[in-house]
Amino acid sequence: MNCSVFFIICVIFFGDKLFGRTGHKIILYAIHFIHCESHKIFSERKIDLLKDFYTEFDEEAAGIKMNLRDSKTAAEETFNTNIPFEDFPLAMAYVPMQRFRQLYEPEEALENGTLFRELNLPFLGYTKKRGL
Amino acid sequence: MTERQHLLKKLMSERFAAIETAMFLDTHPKDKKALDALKIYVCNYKKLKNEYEKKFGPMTIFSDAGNENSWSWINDPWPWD
Repeated sequence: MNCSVFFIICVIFFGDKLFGRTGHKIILYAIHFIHCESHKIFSERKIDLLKDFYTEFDEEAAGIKMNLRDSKTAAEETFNTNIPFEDFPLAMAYVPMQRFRQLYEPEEALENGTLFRELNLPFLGYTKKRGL
Repeated sequence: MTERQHLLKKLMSERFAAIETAMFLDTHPKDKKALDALKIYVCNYKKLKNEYEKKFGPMTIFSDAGNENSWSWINDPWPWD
């Protein structure tokens, strides 16, 4: 590495004496070209690394997903992975029939505003996983 | 909590449970469990109401409790008392 740097410095300062004007220009151009190419390769690698970093980060914070990925792809993924409703008719909703179970004691019921544990659904501001 | 408040809270609870069950029965009119539960809640409510009215006077002007010779409705503390 040191050797090649020394060689390049020599060429830059004394090149015209060693190779003549035209030869010197050609060599300087070559060095410039190599420098640019290596820089390009390096920045491409940097972008790849950043991409990897953000993809990992992505999975943890779904909120940023939309900014980093194509929003259409993200929407399709959500639809396909979470809701197996592809063959269902559109615009239909359902409400499961309530059952007379999991009752509170009357005083607890008054405090919670419902007699049924299943209907005590406080707003938490985030999604709870099913079955909890 | 005074005895009066305690009793009143129990009364309200039973009443609330009965109303909740009644609403459930609106959509499940033949649910045996709910019908039985309603009977119990209503029974408890009536018992507690009688107890309350014996001790602290009538809850509404339609209550049975109260001395027939005088108007007991005004014996309660007034809102500004």
